[in-house]
Amino acid sequence: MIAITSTGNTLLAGIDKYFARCSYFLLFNETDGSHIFIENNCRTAKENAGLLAVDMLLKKGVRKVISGEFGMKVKSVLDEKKIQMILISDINKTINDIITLLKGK
Amino acid sequence: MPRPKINRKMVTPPKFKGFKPYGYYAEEQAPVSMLFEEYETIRLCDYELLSQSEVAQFMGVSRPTVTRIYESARRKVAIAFSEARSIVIEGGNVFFDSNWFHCKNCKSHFNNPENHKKLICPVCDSKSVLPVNHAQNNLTT
Repeated sequence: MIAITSTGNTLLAGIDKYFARCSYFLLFNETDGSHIFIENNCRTAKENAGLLAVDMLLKKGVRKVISGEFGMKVKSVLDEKKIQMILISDINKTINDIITLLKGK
Repeated sequence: MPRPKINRKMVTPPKFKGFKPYGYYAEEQAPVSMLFEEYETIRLCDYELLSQSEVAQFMGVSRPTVTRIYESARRKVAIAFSEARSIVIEGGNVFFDSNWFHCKNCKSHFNNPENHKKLICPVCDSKSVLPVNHAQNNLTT
């Protein structure tokens, strides 16, 4: 399972620059190619939004996360849990572009 | 002989190699060389808005050392701005907190927490993947 941070809940939305404060997470299932959007409820948290988001994603079985940037605290947690972080520097890419790349394997 | 410098920990590699001024006075001049750790202190102090003692913890050095690195970084930025010189980010005593790799095909950065020996890009499956830390071995102090 791969989580992608998204600015909206459509495939045309862009990749969110921030991990924990993103609007939506897109969960992409590598085995059958399906995907769902889930709203990020942790974004309004005053602090430790990243840690809450990681907990939430772990429960969904996420092993890889794609985002524009990760915060300091999140990085160490993700390292600890052995979750692969993928940084996309080109934030003009849409969710659709990434999914095409992922499906094109 | 002075005491050797402690290596400073970096979280992410910078997404660029340097900055260039543009405009009438921006002629070719010798670039200002900024160290990796100086870039990192500016990023942590002024972008992530951490206090200098928090930055010290993250980078694995003492708080006064962070102050010194940060001061030198600010001065270099000031020199570059006022003399219209470009900034090149290179060198320094750094190591990265995890092994970062760069995919030449889709230009993404990623780490390798499960230590796969055969490296392929997790996004586009390309094999043209370069370790970011590699650049570090060529760094001079």
